Amino acid sequence: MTSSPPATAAPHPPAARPDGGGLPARRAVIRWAVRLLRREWRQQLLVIGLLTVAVVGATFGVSATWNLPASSDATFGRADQLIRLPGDDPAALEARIAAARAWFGTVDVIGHRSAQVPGRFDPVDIRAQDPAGPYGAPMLALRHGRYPLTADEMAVTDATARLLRAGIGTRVRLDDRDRLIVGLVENPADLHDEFVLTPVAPADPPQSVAVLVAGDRAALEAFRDSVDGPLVRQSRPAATRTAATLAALALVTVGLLLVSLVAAAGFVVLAHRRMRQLGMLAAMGATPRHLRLVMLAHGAAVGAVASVCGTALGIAAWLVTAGAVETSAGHRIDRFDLPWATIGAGMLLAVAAATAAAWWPARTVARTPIMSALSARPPAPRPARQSALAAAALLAAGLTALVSSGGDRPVLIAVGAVGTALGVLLVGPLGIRALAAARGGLPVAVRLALADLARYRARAGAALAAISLALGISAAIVVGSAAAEHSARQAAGLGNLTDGQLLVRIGRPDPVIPERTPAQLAAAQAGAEAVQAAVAATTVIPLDMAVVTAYADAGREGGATGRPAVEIGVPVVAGRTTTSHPLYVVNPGLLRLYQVAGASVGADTDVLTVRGGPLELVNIPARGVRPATKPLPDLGYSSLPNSLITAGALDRHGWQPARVGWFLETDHPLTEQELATAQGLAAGAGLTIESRREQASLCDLRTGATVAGALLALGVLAMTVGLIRAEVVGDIRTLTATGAPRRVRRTLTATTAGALALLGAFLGVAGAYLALVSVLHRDLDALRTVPVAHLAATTVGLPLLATIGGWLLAGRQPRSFARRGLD
Amino acid sequence: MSIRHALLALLTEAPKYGLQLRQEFEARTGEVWPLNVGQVYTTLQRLEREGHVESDDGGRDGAQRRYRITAAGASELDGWLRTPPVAGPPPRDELVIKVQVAMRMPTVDVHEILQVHRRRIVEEMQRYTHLKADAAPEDVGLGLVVDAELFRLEAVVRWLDAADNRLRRRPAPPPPSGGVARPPDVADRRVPDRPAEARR
Amino acid sequence: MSGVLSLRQVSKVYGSGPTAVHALHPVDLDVDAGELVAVMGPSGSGKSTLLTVAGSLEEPSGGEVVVCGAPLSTLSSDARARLRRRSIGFVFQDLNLLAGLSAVENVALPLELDGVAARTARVAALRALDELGLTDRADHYPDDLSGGERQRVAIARAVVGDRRLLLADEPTGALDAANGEAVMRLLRAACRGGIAGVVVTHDAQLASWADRVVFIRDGRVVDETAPTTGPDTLLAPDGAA
Repeated sequence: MTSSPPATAAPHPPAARPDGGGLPARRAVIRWAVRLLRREWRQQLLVIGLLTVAVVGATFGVSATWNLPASSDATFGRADQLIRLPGDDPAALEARIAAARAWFGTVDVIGHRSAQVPGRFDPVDIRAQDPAGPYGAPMLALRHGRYPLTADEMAVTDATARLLRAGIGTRVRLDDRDRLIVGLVENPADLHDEFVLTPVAPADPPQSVAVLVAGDRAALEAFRDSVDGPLVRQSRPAATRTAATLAALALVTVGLLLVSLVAAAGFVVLAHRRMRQLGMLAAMGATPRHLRLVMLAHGAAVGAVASVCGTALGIAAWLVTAGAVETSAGHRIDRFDLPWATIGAGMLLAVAAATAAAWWPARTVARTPIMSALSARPPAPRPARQSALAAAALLAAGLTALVSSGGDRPVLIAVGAVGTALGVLLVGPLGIRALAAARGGLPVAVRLALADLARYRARAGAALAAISLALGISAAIVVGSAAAEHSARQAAGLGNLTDGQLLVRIGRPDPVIPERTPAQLAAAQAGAEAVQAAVAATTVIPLDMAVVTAYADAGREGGATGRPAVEIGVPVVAGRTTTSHPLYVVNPGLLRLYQVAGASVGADTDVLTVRGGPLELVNIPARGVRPATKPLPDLGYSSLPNSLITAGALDRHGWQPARVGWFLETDHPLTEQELATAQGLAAGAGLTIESRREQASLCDLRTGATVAGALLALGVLAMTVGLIRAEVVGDIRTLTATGAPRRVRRTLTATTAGALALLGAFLGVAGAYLALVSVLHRDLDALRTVPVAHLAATTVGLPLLATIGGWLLAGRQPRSFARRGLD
Repeated sequence: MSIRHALLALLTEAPKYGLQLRQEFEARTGEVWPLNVGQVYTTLQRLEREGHVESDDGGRDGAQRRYRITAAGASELDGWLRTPPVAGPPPRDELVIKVQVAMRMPTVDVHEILQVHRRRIVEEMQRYTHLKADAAPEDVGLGLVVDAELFRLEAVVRWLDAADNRLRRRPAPPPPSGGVARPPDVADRRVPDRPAEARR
Repeated sequence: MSGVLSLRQVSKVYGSGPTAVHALHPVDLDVDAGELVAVMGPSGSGKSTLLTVAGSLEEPSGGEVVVCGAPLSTLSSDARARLRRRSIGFVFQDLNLLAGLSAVENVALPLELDGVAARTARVAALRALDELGLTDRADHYPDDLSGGERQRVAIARAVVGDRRLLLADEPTGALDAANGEAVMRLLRAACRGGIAGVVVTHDAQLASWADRVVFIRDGRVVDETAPTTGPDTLLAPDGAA
């Protein structure tokens, strides 16, 4: 075959073309990058998946934060300003409302009365409001039935209905008036707003009134100046919704940055894979800028794919779960009301993060000499001493910033955290080298695997960085949350009661104890016994308080007149107010509770208490009575009777014990059912019940963080180990040829995976502890609670899992074995 | 190449004149082996004597005569095609002898001798290759002949390369001979990992 | 004839100190337009280094490389890249083509890198492929092409546009004899069209396609063949030329 020679005539005038190749060159390079991604997307699945998860989280999180915060619509409806007027003087109230109406034109008046419900601590709010009010309409929605029209009709919210044990069609006596429930209503902007709705016109005179008005703050201030006397007024707060959403976006940015570090590891691996092709491109005349563009375009494309998939999934997830979110948010949610601009910003951020992740590999690629690239030889790694110095410098700077932040200066904390993280990441390659250096004497397969790790230090280092970062963050969350819990426990104790304990009180907890007739006391006793039977209590301790019989107290807010109960107080600042705590009269049951022998209490002891420092008896006519105290062991529960007054003290001061309630303890955690029954019984007998209030435990958070970190680490491991092993497939063939059994291949892979996981876990946990120690250096006690199980899962479990996984998965021949020719 | 059998082969196609036979012979062998007219007629006369060919007219001059193959000639040709070429001991190779002599002469750089031969042979190969390159690709006859020569010559070049390497590795001759000892050459070491060469 | 490639006392040393490897001792070489030169030598003789230094892929340790009148040492790395896309074409032993781009896109790539609009570049690339008899393979991807076709596409890419210098490193190394000959015919034809070509090889048959064979050994040019006077010298005086 002889062809005519290719045309060389008619040279293009070179000056006509842009120097750097211009737009056509960039377009060609980007086209190639996108084609390669389309061809090799499977190898990018981990990175794409991670980014997608991050974007899903971002989209969902932003949507949720946009819709979660309570809207000020709950209080303001459509109005801008709110005026609260007292109702004690009906005439003055009328005058004020008239003045407001004259000043603002349209006003919406909502009357409030509060009424006591038997067996319940908080009064219920009786609201006289026009459902079609000019401003208040968004604060009301009808769920069932109809709005009340006459004075003996009312509508209630669902929780109020339960509280009143009533429904539509039942009559309830409330606030000295019989009313028929005709509808179920809610405040759509605040589902926890529980109230009774009555019509405006025939309402009882309100105890207080809220007047909703339009107009800006200046108009309100002008009005305030036109009336005499104080005026309680409130302006609608500036939209916090946007701020919260932006805060969520900021959080998302941090998350994306972390993911992009993992992505960077993936891109480093990818760049190495493509080294020869990139070298060829350079030989063809691509400039370093073009080479960089290939990697950056790849990053951007990965980011775009992830952000589109992630946003779609995130929005879908939001639409599906919005209903569930509604209940926890406490207000109605329009699921299509989404912050599109912020979601768009999140998408752009994802693309930007992925592109940024590709920047470092892009730079490396652009700097690799063409011949090294063509022979797929990685550029020489930086000398160890240099990276050791950099690591030390970064660590020192980061830790200094953390120490000086004192734990409460966000900028310093951020800078310190980033510095420490980067420092720990730079230690990674050194760790690999050290591990490889220490391999002498190990079996040949292990030695070979470690040597390979050192040989492929660039990618092993990138993977190690990603692993230690993932595990470091998870360890920081685990250790940090344990520390936070420790501190919180120091501050708040273990909660109010254990889940097997109940406090049954006669009436409400109040330092004024009404005089009770023996019949009343007997009824209360009977009620308490019923409760005791209902929950199968094994221990019942009666609780008495010391009352000053010589003195009568008017009681608080319309309560019955009674005797003041002696309390113990801690002087907060000398001469000013004291915080007082209840003081119970010692009895054998209480002493048993604290395992204190009665005989050990001296006759001159006034008070046994867990509290230290200067104490005085308060709520008594005398001032500055310092009791003789004896310490009690702190059981850690805040509602337990933890300050006890002795019979001797009672005698000395002439005080009398008065029954206030009972302490019940069961041998099992109380069930919802038991609590509900107890509550019902107590309400019937005029008793109140206190049970354990659930304390949020961070254990789930810790488990979640551990699992997430481990999954991330395993993903990165799979990616890296597969790559390294595929590249040393020749070694494996040689080993097989020299008679090594298949076990050797398994050992190689298992060692690689295990070593990387172990190093990553060690570096991650060490880094997390370093950072936390620096932040909490003033309160190292907090770190004494070591979440052993979680940390063990990371440092022992994960490497073990990686090793076992490597062993099991290495049985198969690597797939790239046959496809080596065409990479 | 046996001219006898080549002529017989040409005559299997059709009866031909002597001059025509010479031209076709040269054409089929890619004009690599020029024949003179005398050779052709001598051979034809011998063939006729042996009864392998017969001519139209005994009286006319050789160039004008038309020759035709006989049955005996056809069977002779057929037998020849199937007979393996003579497989005797290899002929004594002059080049090998020259190198062996040069190797023992202290005043001669044997590598230079090798290179002289290498260059000469490559030049010859160039001529053959260019002949092939400039010919029409459908000229199969020429291609066959030229390839045969090229492979033969290439074998010689490869022997020269092998000899070169062998001579480089031989232990230094006991009496140091002046003038031709090459300085130790660092470039003897292979440059590591050159992309194209590393693959070989 | 004008010199397209000129190497003046070019040397190359890898590494330094006692581990330094002298891949090229000072070497001179000139290649004119329309001339195909083979650089022949055994493995490790420095012939590939000579090619990469001549093609501006590596910088020489000493001496000067002049391509199309431009001394490479005076050019910035961007200017060298521009020279590679405008004037120099490479053909390596294998893996010449970028995966993910079709044959015609591969051929058009140097033009596009140089700023030629995609459509124009494609037309030029199709013409180059057509001249190499690859029109029907234009939209195939490298994975779907045979080894010989891939090398032919690589040659099309190396000569497309206004190339002056074609550098080939064992271009037929991965091919069988027939495909190898086809590739060498194309290279020779390209040079007949005015391009200066350099082929490095250890293979005498491959080298014999050249107009001139330069022998290299241990980083030194040790010999070269006399310019061929044409094929007629081999034949009888009446042989066709």
